Amino acid sequence: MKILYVEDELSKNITGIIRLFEKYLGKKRIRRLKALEEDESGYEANPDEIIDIVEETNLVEVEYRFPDALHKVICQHEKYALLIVDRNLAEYEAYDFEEVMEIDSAFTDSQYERFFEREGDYLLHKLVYETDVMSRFYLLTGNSIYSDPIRGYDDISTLIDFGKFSEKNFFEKGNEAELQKLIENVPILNLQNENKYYLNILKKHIDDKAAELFLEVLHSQDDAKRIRDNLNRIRIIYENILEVCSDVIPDMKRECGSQKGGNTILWLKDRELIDDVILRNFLFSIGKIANEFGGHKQYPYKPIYEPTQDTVRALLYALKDVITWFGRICSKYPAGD
Amino acid sequence: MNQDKAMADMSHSIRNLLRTIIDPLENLKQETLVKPQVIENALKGANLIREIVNAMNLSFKGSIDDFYYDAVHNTGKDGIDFRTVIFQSLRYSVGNMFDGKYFGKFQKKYFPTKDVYLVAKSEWANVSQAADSEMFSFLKKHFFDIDISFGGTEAYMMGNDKGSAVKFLILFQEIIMNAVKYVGFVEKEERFLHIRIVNHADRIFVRTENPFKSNVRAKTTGIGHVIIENFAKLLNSELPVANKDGNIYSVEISFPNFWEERKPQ
Repeated sequence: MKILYVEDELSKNITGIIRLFEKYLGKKRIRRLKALEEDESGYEANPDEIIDIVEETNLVEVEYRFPDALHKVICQHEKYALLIVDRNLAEYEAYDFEEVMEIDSAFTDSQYERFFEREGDYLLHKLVYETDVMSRFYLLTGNSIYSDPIRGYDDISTLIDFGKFSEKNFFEKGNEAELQKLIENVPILNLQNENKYYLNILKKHIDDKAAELFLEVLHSQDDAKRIRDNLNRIRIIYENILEVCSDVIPDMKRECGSQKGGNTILWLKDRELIDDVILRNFLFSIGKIANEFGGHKQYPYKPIYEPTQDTVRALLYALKDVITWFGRICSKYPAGD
Repeated sequence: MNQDKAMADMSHSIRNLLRTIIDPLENLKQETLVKPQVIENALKGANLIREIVNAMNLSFKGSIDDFYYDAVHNTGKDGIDFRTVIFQSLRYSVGNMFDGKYFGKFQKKYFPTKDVYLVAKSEWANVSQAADSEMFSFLKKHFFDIDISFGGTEAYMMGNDKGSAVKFLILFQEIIMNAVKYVGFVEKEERFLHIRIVNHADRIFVRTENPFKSNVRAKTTGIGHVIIENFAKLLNSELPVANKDGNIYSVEISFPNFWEERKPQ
């Protein structure tokens, strides 16, 4: 899950971006953003440079053009935990009516007029009847909604009257302390941020799917109904790791074939690629338990002891060490060498 | 446009600008090292606010009599001739294109890369106060073809005892700035700005013409047009006529020839 941040004047809002996403940006990225802000040449910072820095977090996606934002809202809104959208998206560059029509055939000429300088409201309208937007869609406005009437209030008030939206979802730019708190307290994003080290290794050396599986385990590790699912996910990640290892570690594929069991673990230990105490035991535990209880087949007999949420958590923590080791192996034996 | 809308738009503009001042100040509270550029940007923002408020304030004040008075009592140190009004407005507008913080959208049209920008900026430092011919060749190279015909108005001097010189300057800054901003959206070889002043015994007509891109819409919350319209009212002028003829955008404003015409009794 991510945050979608839509702002047409990115270069003017570097300070605001830092303030909103401080927690996820980290000190180095903040320094790079500030360097853009402090450029003495007088040349406007390139919005794509700002986007590149912010999107390195893997937690925040940024768009500055209405058509691009509309495309994301229509096609992939499920992947966003929060959508933070500037209402007026007309500033950076005019968008072609035809360009928007290609993305959304419902966008008519009259809507072009109606939503000009309120493009953010159009994005809200695209989602409001499909999903619960109240808890995740926030509009940024240059006006103070407490002293000025909300522009286009007639459109918005209908949504408010029907309980689909709220004035609390408006934030005045420059006065977003409450929004910052919301951004910093989305559980799934915090989970991703706290585990970004492991997620990045899986993404970089296996694929996005492996990272998603890992995140799903993190997210549902306490769910008693998800024990088997989680052990299955852990098994898949474990197997993915060993598959990549066999591709990059010299001779492993030839000598171990596609085996992912004890012999392969012992092969790794004998070549001192893993230690005898921590990783050997963790790999054995993960391989054995996840395979035994997380397989597709129903367990053929009533076990003496069945896995619990603690089993999942124990394997999850063991898997974290294995992922750390895996990251080091991939650095030592880069793919393609 | 009524005064409420004008005030709402001005509030909006000022609020946006204030953020560019408050943000760096907030940051400075936490920084041990003060970054000069951050202060510079904040000061520019503060000056823009001053200019906006000043322009808006003046556009609501005074009457046509003030212009008649200042056209006659024009020997004070703040008096300004018509040629200077036009050239200062042009310099102001072009100079703003070097300010990416506040005019980045337009700047990028003239200078798609930083390298191109830096070359032009360094030349601008030399020519901005140089002779008109040098500025014209600079504008042709980096901005647009420019053609100005004064129609014999160059030497008309406007005094400032009642604020008319400043009002004139603000009015033409707004008109020319608007043209300079939007010329940039068309292809470089098609860019031009024509300023034609026609001098009749009773009225002076000023017309700017520039190409524009039809799909580029100006912000409706901008206050430049409010200021222009208010000044037009002060000058007992028809509201400025904006025409879109094909790809050419023109604005025409006329006002009494304060210098040639006798003040109506």
